[in-house]
Amino acid sequence: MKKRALWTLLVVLTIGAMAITACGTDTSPAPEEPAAVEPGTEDDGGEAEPMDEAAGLTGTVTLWHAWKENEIVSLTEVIAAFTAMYPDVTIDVLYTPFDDLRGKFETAAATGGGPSVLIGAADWGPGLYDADLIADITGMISDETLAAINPAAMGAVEYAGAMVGLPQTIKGVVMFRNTAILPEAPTTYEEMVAMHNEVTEGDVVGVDLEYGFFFSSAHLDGVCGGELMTPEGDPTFNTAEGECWLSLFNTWEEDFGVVENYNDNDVNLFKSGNVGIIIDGSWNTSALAEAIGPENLAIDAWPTVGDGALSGYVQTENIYLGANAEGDDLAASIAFIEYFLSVEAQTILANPEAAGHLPAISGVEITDPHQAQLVAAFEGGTAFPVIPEMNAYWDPMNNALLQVVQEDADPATVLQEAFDLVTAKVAEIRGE
Amino acid sequence: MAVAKLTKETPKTPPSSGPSLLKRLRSSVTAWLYILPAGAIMLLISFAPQAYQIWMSFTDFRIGNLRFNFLDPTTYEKYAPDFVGLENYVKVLLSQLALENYDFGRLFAFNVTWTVANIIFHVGLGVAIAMALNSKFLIGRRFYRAIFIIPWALPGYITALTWHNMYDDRFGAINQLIAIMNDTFGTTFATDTRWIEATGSPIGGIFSFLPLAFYAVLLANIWLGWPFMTVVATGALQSIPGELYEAARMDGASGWQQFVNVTIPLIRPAMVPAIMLGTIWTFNQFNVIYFITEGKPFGRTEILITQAFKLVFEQRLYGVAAAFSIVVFFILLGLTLLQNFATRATEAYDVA
Repeated sequence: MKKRALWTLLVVLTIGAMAITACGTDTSPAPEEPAAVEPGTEDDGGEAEPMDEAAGLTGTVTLWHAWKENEIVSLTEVIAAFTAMYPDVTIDVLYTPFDDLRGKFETAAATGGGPSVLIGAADWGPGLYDADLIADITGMISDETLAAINPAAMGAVEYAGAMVGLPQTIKGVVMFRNTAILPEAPTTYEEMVAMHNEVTEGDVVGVDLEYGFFFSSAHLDGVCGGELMTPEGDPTFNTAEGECWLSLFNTWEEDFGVVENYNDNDVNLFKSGNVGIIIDGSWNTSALAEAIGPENLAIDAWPTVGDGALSGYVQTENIYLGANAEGDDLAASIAFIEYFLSVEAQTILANPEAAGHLPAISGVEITDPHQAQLVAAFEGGTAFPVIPEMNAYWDPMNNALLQVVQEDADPATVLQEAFDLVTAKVAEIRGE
Repeated sequence: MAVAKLTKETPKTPPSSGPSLLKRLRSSVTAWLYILPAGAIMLLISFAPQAYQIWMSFTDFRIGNLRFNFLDPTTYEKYAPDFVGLENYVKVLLSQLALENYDFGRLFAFNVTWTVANIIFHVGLGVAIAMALNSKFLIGRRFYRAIFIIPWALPGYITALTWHNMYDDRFGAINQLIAIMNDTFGTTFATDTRWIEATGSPIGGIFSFLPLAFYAVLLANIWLGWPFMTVVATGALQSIPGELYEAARMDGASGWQQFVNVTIPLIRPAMVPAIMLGTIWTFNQFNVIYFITEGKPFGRTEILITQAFKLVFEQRLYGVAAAFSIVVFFILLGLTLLQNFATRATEAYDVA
């Protein structure tokens, strides 16, 4: 009986082993012999060089991103154009939701995997570089490409003496207006309040502003003349200017009745044509234009408040080279990153009916009125701090905002609590 | 009155009379071979990461140490984390973490309250509904059994996100339903309640540490949790011989006495493991808390596991998060042992 059981087990194990072996075997058809490439003739001269280079480039570019549907249309077009130039390069693309992308990348890259190219937020760069998860691309990109990149945008990829990526678009927080509700742009805050009161009726709201920390932090400088942090990342907001900033949103609530904190109510209402003015990210321009009609969408310069003006963060979205890329994959990935910053690719990405990205390079003609308005609005923006310490600010600062606006807490007390917590978090980030 | 006597099973053979260890090992070779594949996989995917986590909890493991690899000595010098002994545990237990409103005692008290409140409702409702479904006189029992499984069958995070939207103060279904009620019945209930963000507590006294969001998320998790208990209780109820109730009735037992003396003792062996599982699931009910309240207001509905998650995904303090998880493990171990002891769950019973 025992013997029979043993034999049964051995048979099962053998069948299992065979099945596993079968799974592990590469059952895909053997790759065909590469087509013979006609060598360039001697008299091809300079024109033959790109063909030779293209024919020589092989490998796989593995690209991870968190782009939205309209952006994926442009991305697909860019990839198609790239593979037309480099037919022997394979591109593997993986979409991951934005909230999961960084964690997924860290886990994969730390174990020797992950993508060779990552498109992600500018503030990821320093942390990922410190952890050796992305590569320093100094010396890998041609001078011609680097010279075309907006010098201000380059600041977002220079860290600790390294070039941790390339800025592939400029984006930021801006003020959107539905011209069907509010035909004229407010130039001052007082005008905005008056317009709101004039048009608010029934389901239509004149102004519905967002005060989540990311969307409102720049007003600290713009309206109150304060500073969030030192260039090194130490908090400096615990001042009278900081209190002025926190109190600003109580004023908003009194003036407009409703304010939003990290929810999509304002955006959804705007898309349904029920709000005149909202504050949101420039990356939603195409979606908003599609919802209310491009002719009804305007992006305004920030209105003035007293001696200052409202403001929004301006930042870049970067393209990074994964630290694990090597050999042919590395060469192909660098070529892809460089192509991403070419006039051709940036023009595709700027298509207002698809990604609608604001180019990070010069030489791309901006014909879309919304993009021209974005450029103008960004002039009144505030540079987003690209340092690891920024991570210490998100929750404490937003909680401070919520306590003041929703709980009517004392701004000075709340600010002190936030300051203490941010200081502790900064020390934690630095490992002090 | 005793309608059924429960006696503890005695072991059939004394443990000392068995063969020697070597003989027993030899005789169990086949059994070992059978469990070998599963055991090897368990070792690889379960025990090895746990051992790694325990080690990590004694280190200052951060994002910069992610490339450290035990199997690759070339990574030791550059990426190995510093050994910090019990420092991470001290930080966790003495509330020394740089997190919003972090207080381990409050977090633990909230987590236990959350678990106990849920289990009471899950079991109470689950057993009550199972008894109703077990009634011979109920028409459409199969239909009810099918639809009551819906909350259990839906993916947890989908349910959680739906409840999250329902609690929206401006566009959520709950406030809109209240508005319809007000219009229909002339009531004047508030229609702009901030179910998740409000910091006030609807009940004072010892429950004043529980914000409105607690009750909101409790309601959602009750909806999610009772079907499991109903399924378990239904199975147990159907295995109770009808003769026992008949005998009890002949002895003059009332409905309540039948419930206390027949039903409860006989469904207990099935319910106790279910309650233990439910306790562990609820204690670590990440989806519901993370997607419905996100710890709002101001971290007052965080549970231990969501806090640990934030340590990793927001702070990237892997070492501290590992220590946090070990602490959660020991808390759960303690709760399970306590529950075992209190309910005598591992003892077997015969109906005499």
